[in-house]
Amino acid sequence: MDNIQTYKDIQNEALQKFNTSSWPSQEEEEWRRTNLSKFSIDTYTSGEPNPAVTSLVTTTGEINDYDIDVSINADGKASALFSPQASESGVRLSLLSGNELPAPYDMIRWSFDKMDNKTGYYNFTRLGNALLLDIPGNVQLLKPVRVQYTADKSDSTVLYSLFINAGKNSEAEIIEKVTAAGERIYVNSTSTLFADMRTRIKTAFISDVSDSSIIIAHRNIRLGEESTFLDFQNFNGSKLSKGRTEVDLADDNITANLYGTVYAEGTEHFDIRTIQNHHAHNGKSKALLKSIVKEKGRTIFQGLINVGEHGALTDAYLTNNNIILNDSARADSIPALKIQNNDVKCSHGSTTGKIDPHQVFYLTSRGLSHEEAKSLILEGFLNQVYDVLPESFTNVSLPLIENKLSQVS
Amino acid sequence: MKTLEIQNLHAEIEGKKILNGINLTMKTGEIHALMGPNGSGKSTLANVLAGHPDYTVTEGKIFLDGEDILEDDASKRSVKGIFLAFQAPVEIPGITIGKYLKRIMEVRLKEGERMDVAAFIKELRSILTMVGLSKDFINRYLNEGFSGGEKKRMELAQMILLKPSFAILDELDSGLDIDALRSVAAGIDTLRGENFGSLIITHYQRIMDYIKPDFVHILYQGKIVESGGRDLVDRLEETGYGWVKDMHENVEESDEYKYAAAAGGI
Ligand SMILES: Nc1ncnc2c1ncn2[C@@H]1O[C@H](COP(=O)(O)OP(=O)(O)O)[C@@H](O)[C@H]1O
Ligand SMILES: [Mg+2]
Repeated sequence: MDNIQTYKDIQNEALQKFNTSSWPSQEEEEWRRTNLSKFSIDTYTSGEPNPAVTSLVTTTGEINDYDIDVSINADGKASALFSPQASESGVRLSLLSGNELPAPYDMIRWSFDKMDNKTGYYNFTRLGNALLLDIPGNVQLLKPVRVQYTADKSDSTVLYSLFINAGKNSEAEIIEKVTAAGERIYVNSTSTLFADMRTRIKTAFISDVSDSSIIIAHRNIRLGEESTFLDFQNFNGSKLSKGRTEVDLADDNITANLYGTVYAEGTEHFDIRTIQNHHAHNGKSKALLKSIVKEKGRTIFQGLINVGEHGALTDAYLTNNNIILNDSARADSIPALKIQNNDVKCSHGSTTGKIDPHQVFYLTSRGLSHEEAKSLILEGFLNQVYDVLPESFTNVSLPLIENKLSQVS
Repeated sequence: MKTLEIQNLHAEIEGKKILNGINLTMKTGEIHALMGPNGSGKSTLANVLAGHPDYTVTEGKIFLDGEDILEDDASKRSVKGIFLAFQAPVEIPGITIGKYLKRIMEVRLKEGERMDVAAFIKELRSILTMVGLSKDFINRYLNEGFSGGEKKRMELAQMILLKPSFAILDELDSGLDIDALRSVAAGIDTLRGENFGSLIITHYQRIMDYIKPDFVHILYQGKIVESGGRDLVDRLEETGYGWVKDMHENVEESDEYKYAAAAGGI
């Protein structure tokens, strides 16, 4: 019973912090370009939030493209379908408040300690309704895991939380997809990954929400020795999407690659932060974010490479490329390096510009129309990310962007 | 047989006059060489023929098979059979050669026609081999990270695939070693015939050892100042462009002179 008490401790702590703190203001560097008060976030959080998951039903059966397919409907009812292989492997999905597994207190504590603002505390106030995916050591899931949240109720606030506990030498691809088709929905989501030694985990977070909605997503990732990790994030729609992905290379010889794509149009506002924390020897990390910005769209990319004093032999890159389709569109790129060890290789680069007219002429001179040429160039621009992702990530994300690529002018 | 007729073509960019009245008629079946010193306007002519939107044609006409194509954009001209091999092809990251070439073939399909993808891939492989590129290039991004020579070979491959009526090759030979030069010549030879005409732009004589042109023209200060047969190449070989400059130094001045005279100033 100890573990239940402990997660409840954190939940209480979160509630207290939520009640006593104020929303991040533009005084804070991370929030300087995103004025939360403009989005009247208080009105979203004054009532009771819809907790992520209120009930979970798990079944085993034949499924095609996934090993585990989880759907959470607008009422918080989750149904999970496991392939027989996944079921036999010992992988378990549960509600944190359930008693089936000992709740991994260290992971929850670690993730909560990463939270430094009220949007993060808010998410932890319904900790018991979080999902926990437990992948035992040495298990390799051959097909991806998909977790789909559908928050279609207009004027609702939903708190999603997924904890993934990946045991030694395990391997999996995990896709979280959030859909919010109703109006004025506030999605607040946290994903936490605790990956042990020699794990090979790939995660994706993909959102598709209505233009009157807001999404704030925190993603906290901790990697163990000799792990390789890949992450992909792709936000679609919303009047505000704020994402933060923080990866701790907590032990030696880890490789972590973070990718992201955004297509901003209308008055959509995307503010994405990535943090590459190198705490140990010989860590390799790379962040590559690409955005296409149209009309009055706005993207902000704030990347940080943070090398601690034990981060010798770090090799870290941070890249942000943006294409602006018209003069009213805007993309800001704010890379930062914080390095406390001399024996490292770190660099960053960013580019922001319009579609290269030389490329357009080249393609039109081979017979493509002006529009086709432009959309092919944009497709290519994003493909530099999509081509390195697992197919399952591309298959979920690309259809959400593809139709926009053909409407370039 | 088709014709490409350039009549009294004047063009400028950013207010700067570059082409000053070009007259040139080409027929399919013929190979024309266009030579001239750096800055004489060779690439400008190539771009204007292909429909580059940055250049303004201020006077003159271009007819393809009797049809005025000045109003057609680059895309239409391409589909109608004009091909420009670029002096410096751009890189287009993220788009594989295979995907790109399939698209540019698809836009040429007539209504109701469908592409035979298997046949296309087979043809593509044999073309790549012909121009000296490995089959792996099908999965490479378009021109990205290619060496200078590989880019030129890729241009040649596209020309062979698209089978244009008129190909304008803008210094396809520059920066190529003898081996590559031979494959360029071989590539042109595969299309050479009554359905293919070419304007080979160069400022070296070397390529003429491999591709024998039927006509040679010399461009100087935006005008064709000499036209002739292969003997012109020999003359350039011996003396360089010095004699051209000496003879035609006042191309632009004489234009001004005429203009002033017409206006009644002189
Ligand atoms: N985009 C441009 N803007 C301004 N001037 C140009 C541009 N392109 C070409 N020119 C000028 O036009 C002249 C002819 O150039 P170009 O056609 O490239 O010559 P060539 O190919 O014979 O070396 C040069 O003086 C060059 O500087
Ligand atoms: Mg040139």
